[in-house]
Amino acid sequence: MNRSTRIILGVFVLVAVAVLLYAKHAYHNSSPQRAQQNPSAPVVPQTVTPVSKTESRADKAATTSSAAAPVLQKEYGAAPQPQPVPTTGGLVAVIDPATGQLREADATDIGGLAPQPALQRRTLTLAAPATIEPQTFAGPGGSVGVVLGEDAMSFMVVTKGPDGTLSADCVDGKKAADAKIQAAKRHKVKKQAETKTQPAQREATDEM
Amino acid sequence: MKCKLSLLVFALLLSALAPTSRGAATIVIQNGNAAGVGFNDPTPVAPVGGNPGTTLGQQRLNAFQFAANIWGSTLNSVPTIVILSTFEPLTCTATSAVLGSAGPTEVFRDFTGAPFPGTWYNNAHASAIFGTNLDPATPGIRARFNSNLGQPGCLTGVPFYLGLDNNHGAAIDLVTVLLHEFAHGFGFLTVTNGTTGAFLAGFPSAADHFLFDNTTGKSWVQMTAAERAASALNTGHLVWIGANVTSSVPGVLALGAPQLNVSAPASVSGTYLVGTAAFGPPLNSLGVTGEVMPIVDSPGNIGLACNPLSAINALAVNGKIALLDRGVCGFTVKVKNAQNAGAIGALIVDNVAGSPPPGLGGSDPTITIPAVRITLADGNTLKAALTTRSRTHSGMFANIGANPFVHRGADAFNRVWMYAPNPFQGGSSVSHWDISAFPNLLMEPAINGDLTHSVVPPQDLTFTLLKDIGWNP
Repeated sequence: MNRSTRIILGVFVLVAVAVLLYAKHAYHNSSPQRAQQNPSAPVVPQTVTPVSKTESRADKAATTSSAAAPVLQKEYGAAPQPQPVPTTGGLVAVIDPATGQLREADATDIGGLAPQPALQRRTLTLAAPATIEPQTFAGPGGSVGVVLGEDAMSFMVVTKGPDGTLSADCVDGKKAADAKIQAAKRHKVKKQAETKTQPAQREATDEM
Repeated sequence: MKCKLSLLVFALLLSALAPTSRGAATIVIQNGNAAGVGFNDPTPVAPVGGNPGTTLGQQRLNAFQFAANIWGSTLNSVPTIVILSTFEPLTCTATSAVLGSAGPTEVFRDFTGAPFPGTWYNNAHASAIFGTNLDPATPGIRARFNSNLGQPGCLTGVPFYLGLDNNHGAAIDLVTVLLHEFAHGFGFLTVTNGTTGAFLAGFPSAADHFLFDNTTGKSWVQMTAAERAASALNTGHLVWIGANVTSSVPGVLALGAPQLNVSAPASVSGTYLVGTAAFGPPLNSLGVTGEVMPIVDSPGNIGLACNPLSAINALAVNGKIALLDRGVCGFTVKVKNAQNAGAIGALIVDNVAGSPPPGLGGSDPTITIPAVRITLADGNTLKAALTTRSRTHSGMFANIGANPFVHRGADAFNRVWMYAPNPFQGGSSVSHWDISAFPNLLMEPAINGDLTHSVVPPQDLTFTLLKDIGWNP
């Protein structure tokens, strides 16, 4: 065995070990265990790279439509010590069965190795248009789950009346919340138009 | 040292809310903000109302954890409940704003221990029953709140009150809003579509077992989708039939449900929903009884009463209950003009469709007669019956008063009304108590300024409803 052969074999062994370590790590990621937070400890802000697999439809909408650029960068999977996600990090080594040689991993390989069925399941659910039947997924012990979107969120909307009084109303879903804001805006515009044409009644228009 | 001391005081304050005999759950606020913003905003602030934080971000986080601890001391859950939270810019204008949003991230059915099979339970609730997190990778509740509130262009000048003592003044008490929104996350809601009546993926929510329409005599799980959609609009007839809530009603809600009773003519006799006035005398069990006479001073058989009444109108309502219309001027102006003409009470007909009728706002300490608002539909019914009348008599008799045997916000069987306005209101419907509840409850669709931070009787019924659906068995 010459020197170059030994080097190649050494590299191969290292890669094989890396594959094994990766597979073990991937198995742990797919289990329902997660770093538990200490409730009394200060919460560490998350600044990790966005992980689309773990984003909800609602969160995705917020991060793309909101002006909150520096806001949440990583959603439900966020934890004090984020776990590596194979599709965005991690080492993937593939041996071509035809040649027996290492080759560069392609998308099919990565998809085939993706070790988080739960997260994949969620991605499928979230990718579905909102108009179709919600997709369910299997949970522990025979349970069945559904990921909820923005429509399941309750929004508290506050409006200020002409006399300065505040009204805080709870509505469900972003659409309803935005509609309420728009209605308040239209009401104000209409009110201004009325008071311009009927100045004598202006003082009396509160609480009509 | 001073800072440490204040933190110690704060810790003691929080520990006072620590697990009691009622419940014990660890609720973690997971800070989802990036450095420098939201919960990490370094803007220096002075401690306020028991909140020892010295940066804006820390005070926000303290208020969140304070609200979470109130729920943590009330609910039982072995698994930690995680609320992924952020402060971020949300929709707003100078006079209106989204304060924040919260809700469950997932629902589960048919887990071991589920109170009802084939029924959706919120993630946090289902996990509490199951004994371990059904999806540890996903926070049970997601919450977003508005980081710009009070800034120019975003409900200008009206920020969140970040104190923990409910001494919010003209500001918006963040803790109260959080208690409300978190409750939706724990299960105070139905995920059944209120507009179509369709169950989520074909299965009902836990709440649907306790939503009962006393017109059809069916609960939501017994109805067809069309019946549920109709029930969501059945104002004053959609009630909660959970035993815990019903038994708690006498200790929480006041007796004396306000109502309008028409005794004659027979064609319109019955009880009508009313919105009470913020001015004038409070309604009592005796009430005011009299003949109803309309005011007509505008085209279309309308009586606005924005000016002193004409001699004919004054003659008509003198010693009577005046029927007049909403619009153009304030409620107090109308009622005062009717009072000045000798009316003993006032019924103000709404000028837009919708039920239940909202209250009458305004203030005038010189008003001494009772006034209520009735719906446009009911007003038109009464007006139709008043078409044939003399200048001084109509033959229609009514009482504006309070039923001494019925609690405010509940039916005669102590079943609390759910909010079921017609038309359906973009999501507020059904998942809240009706606005007629008094004293005001945390889970009405509007946050009232007199709420306490309590979620249990005798101040509130939120936890009681959660018990009905299976929390703290």
